[in-house]
Amino acid sequence: MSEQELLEKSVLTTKLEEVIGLCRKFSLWPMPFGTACCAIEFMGVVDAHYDIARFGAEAVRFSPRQADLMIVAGTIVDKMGPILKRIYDQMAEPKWVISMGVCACSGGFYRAYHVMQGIDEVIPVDVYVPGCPPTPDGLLYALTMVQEMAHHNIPRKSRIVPFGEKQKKPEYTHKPLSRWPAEMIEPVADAAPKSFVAQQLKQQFPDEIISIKEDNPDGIPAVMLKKDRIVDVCRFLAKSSNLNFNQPTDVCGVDYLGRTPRFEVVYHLYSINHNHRVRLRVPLDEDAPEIDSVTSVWKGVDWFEREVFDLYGINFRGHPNMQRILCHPQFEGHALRKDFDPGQRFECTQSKLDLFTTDYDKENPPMLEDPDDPLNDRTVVNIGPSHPITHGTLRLQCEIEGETIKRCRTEIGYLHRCFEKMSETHTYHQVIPYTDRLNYCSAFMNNAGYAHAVETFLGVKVPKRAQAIRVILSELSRIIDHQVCIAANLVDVGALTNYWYLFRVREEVYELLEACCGGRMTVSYARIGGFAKDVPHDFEERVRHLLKILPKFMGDVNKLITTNPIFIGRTRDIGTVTAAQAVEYGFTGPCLRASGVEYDVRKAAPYWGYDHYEFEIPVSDDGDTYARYMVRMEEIRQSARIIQQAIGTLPGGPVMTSDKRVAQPPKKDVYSNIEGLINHFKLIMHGIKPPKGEIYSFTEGANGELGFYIVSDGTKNPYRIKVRPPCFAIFQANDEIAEGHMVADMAAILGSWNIIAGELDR
Amino acid sequence: MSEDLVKITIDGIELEAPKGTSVLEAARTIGIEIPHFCYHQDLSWSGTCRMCFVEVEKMPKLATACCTTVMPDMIVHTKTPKVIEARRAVLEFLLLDHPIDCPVCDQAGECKLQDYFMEYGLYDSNMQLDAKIHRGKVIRLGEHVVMDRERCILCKRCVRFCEEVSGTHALKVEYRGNHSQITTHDNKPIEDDYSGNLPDVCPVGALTSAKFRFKCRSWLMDSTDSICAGCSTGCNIRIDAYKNEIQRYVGRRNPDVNKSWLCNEGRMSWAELQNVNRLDQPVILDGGAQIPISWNDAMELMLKKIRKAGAAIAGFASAKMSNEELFLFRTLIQNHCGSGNLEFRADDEYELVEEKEDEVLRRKDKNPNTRGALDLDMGVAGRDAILKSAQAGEIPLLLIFNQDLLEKMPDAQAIFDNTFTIVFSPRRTKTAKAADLALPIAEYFETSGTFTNFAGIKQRFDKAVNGPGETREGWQVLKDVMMELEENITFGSTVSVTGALDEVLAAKADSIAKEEAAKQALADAEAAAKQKIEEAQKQAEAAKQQAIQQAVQNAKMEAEMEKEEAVEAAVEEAEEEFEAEKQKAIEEAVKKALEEQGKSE
Repeated sequence: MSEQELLEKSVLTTKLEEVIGLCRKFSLWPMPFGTACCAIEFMGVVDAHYDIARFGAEAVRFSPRQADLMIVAGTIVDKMGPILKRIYDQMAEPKWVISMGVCACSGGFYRAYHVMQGIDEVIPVDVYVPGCPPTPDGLLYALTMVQEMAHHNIPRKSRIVPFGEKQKKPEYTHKPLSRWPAEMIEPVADAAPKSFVAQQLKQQFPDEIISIKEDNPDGIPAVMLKKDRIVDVCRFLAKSSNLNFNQPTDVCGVDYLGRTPRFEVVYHLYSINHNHRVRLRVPLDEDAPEIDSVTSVWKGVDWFEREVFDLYGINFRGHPNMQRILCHPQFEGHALRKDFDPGQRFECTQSKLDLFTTDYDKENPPMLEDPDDPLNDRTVVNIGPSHPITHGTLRLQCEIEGETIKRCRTEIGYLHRCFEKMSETHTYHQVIPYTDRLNYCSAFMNNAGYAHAVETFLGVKVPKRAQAIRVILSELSRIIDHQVCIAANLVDVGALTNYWYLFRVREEVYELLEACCGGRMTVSYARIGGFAKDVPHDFEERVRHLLKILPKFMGDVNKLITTNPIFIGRTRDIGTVTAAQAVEYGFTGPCLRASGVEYDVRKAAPYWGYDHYEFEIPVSDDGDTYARYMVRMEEIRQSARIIQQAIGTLPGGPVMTSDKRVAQPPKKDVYSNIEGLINHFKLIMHGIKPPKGEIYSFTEGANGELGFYIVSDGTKNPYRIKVRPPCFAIFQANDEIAEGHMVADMAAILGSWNIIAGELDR
Repeated sequence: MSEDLVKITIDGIELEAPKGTSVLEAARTIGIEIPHFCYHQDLSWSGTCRMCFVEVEKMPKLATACCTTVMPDMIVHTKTPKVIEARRAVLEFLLLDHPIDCPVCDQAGECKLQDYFMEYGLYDSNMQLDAKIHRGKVIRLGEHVVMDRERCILCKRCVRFCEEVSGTHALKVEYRGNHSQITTHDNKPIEDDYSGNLPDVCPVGALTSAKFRFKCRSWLMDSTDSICAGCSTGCNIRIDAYKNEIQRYVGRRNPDVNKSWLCNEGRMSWAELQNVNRLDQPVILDGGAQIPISWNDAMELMLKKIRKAGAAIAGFASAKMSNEELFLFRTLIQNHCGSGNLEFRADDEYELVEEKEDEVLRRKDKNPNTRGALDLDMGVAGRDAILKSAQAGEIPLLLIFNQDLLEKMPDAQAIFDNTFTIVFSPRRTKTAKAADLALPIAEYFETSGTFTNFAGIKQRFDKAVNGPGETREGWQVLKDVMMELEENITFGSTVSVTGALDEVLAAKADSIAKEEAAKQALADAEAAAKQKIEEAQKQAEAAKQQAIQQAVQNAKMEAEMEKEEAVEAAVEEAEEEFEAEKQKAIEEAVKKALEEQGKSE
């Protein structure tokens, strides 16, 4: 070949813009601004199965200065707004934005007081991807659209729709969501209480008790007390040896608007040693919503009381840090009060600069840099909320000396999506999709836990087949949740390979769930009374296939990590939590078991037939990050064991109860006789109506005890649902545990708690 | 135990019920709801539907609670297996031919069949769809009612309503047995003014409202308690609205005012008022045309004018205003400005406030709050006086509140040329269009307050929807003005204004009562005095009478005596005469005899 021909064959002329466009197109570096469930799907896109690397976009960078494609994956709440704007501003041109998921596009189904109704309130968007979450294919298609835009330098067409325009005047006059019938709380002279706890309380504090109710559907005695000596009562309950309520499970508020007294603070307490529970209800007047804090008895009520203050305006005297915890600092009012409009938003233009100043010492803020001591080396470092180790939604401020953390403060609420307010405006059935998005890594467990709560409330029996399927799917969800935790934890300490292995096997589980109900991650599969429809006919095959491939992947991870000296060095004796600390903070789940306390709801209070399966609870005495990793790995194996037994003994029969109060009639009845039609109609429009009362129902979620405290006023909407989030109690301890460790250790510790913000902030 | 109360036991709870009430009503007082279709509190007892069965001890069969009067020592059970089975059975029978219409039936969501099925039914059906009997479907009975005979359960509430309440006997039951159906006479449409109550009274979707047909689903609507402002009766209503649009009015039960009923005109009165011809922005007259201005500017201008006008201000209120608005208006004009130019009577309709227009509900006065305005003494100056003063140029500022002055008094046009008029109006009325400053205020369903009906009953109404555009609530505007003018006025809501005006009314009532008492005392004293005088008079009369009688009697007696004496004298005389005559006769006879003797000798 002549030189001329060679030249013609190997040289092409084009415009510079084309070349640059081509280069940009195939090397988009995403900055994943991932906050919630969509972020998990994004992680699924990056992993080996969907492989974003085919598109050249696998260089995921968490720093805006190194990225050119911002993928906003997950709900952006008002608190996160200023941060999103700042991160976007820090990206250099040319930059593109993909709004992934309906929450980022428009707020999704969270028409709520703390959720931004679309990220285009603060930043312009190039491609909107609908879906909740969008399938990975959807995101990849959006990526190709951005690639075209990058290639041909197409200008964006979207504009920023400011807050004022989105937050239109309320369309109609606001009335309180629901009111409690007007009644006065009068002391009730009870016959002798039957339960031991109530008897002891009555003996010790006869004047403080207003009433005792023991016939609740959950079997927990509910004692209504006066507020004056609440600290003494709690101390007695905690310290007395035959009661020993060492674990504060939950503290929440309820607004009985219309009743006198209006508010109520509800304490749920649990004794790990004696396995009994009690519910304390303390009514508070509307014009004196104040009560003494019980943080002196258990440290673990700290954040719970702050949440009650944030959402109800009840002041806890003596609390070390009485400040808002979930809503942003410019929020006005108390959101869960019944006369607070669910859609009333306030614009957040600035996040809190200093987390160390508590309410009490606003006048004298701490001097962090002492001008008289030039050798004082302390600085304050802000970590998060947009930071790889904080998984997008947690914020820490560490006062460090060198690399050692001297003090640490946490701020949460960056994913406060107003689950509890939304549940008050929807029927019991309509709450199920919201429960998916609590712990979105193991969504099915939330569905089933909530359905279990309502079923217990109503006294509805779930058929055996449904129970067994619930066990199988719950254990599979537990496995995938632990896998996310381990994967993220390992990525944070630098062991990236395992992330690919662990997410690969998650895709297999997603395929199973998709075959069952159509949803990969946010399934909404459980129904009150059983399931929406039966599992596919090849369910057993699929499950057995999963059980076969699981050990291979877990084995790979095990070989790489468990005896790896780097990993051991990074995690041994890091973030040690003693058993006493863990119990006092209200830890449950793997974090508690890693500290040496053998408590698992599946053994302590079995449900769905868990007592018929043989499995062990892995417990470690070390309490450090390594222990938490080991406990989770072993739990995955034990879960596989349970699934093996369950799939082998899967009974036949219906998957939905025949109780017409909750079960939809078969479609042929709906279309051919009036009774079926009325039944269907009323169940959809007015839904399920549990009798007036309350229940606290709990299951073992992946992170620990996931509890639902439901108060019903007999109507179709729940009067109050409080989710007892396992990681809320755990994350409180972070400030104390992190002290003395280095910043790099923070990454390991944070990952080992498995904080899922959907559950933490609700 | 009083004579009027009867002691009975229901579900183990003892209670005393007034004599003559039914078991159903008695159970309701203690919170036990017994399911029923044909019973209605404001209609006669029927016992047709058989749904309200309860078990009464010592009665062999189940009794219908709605028409069983309470008897002493009656023991009633409402939840025994027999009762539960009976309810289920009645439901099953009622649903046998019932069409599967829920998705297209307006009653869905507020249908008793649906509600009771979920509570007492929940059984498997044995009825085939093609075995159901078909009857007439969309039958229009006049402008307001659509009938569907398949859905009808023949409770006959509608028939009883037409007989007892509207009195028109418009509906009747035709044929017998399974062929029974509700119909009008000669298939004529129902044209009376109360036909709108028929959809309310029908417990199922057999009679539905033609005006509301397919408009909005019942569970989507927000309900607010309010008062109809169509006339001075003040019927209690419930306003159902969805997304700030009123969908319908439903009658609310008030045994003292309207029972459960509404007239058609009142029921549909919102249609004209909510969206038609609304004034939705403050406008100012500038060079012949009205141009919009902001509320801030409007308020500033108004305050300036009020301060300048002082006691020469005049205020024309209306009987459409709520008591709170009237009170604040009066406080502004009379108390603060010290003006006596306050009036609300643009015509003489106020005199008709108590006059009935028909025998059921309607009154001739088409304003809701005439009585309230009268009670608050809003009619001070008289409309002619104000007109004259205005024409003479003595009134620099005239506030007209919710009153179409030009419509009612055409010669008031002159005022508009001489005076600065500020008109508060919800609509672009003639007056609003001629005003110097027109301010948009809310209609009664967009604000809250109270109306006093013709009988003096003060009734509260609440805000159902937001007003359009820049509309503000009337009482709020007045309150803001007062707060600018006087420092110590603060009212948080209409409830506090009601409280204030209640105090004033109470004080007025007090003073009236005192006056009355004084008057009464005076009258009493007068009466007492009068009585005394009367008594004295009577006594005098009596004495006089007695004296006369006595005199008469005496005279009689004397006359008698005289008569007797005269008679005696006469008798004596007569006797003497007789004697004399006799003597004479004897002498003559003797003489004669002697003569004869003498002769014969």
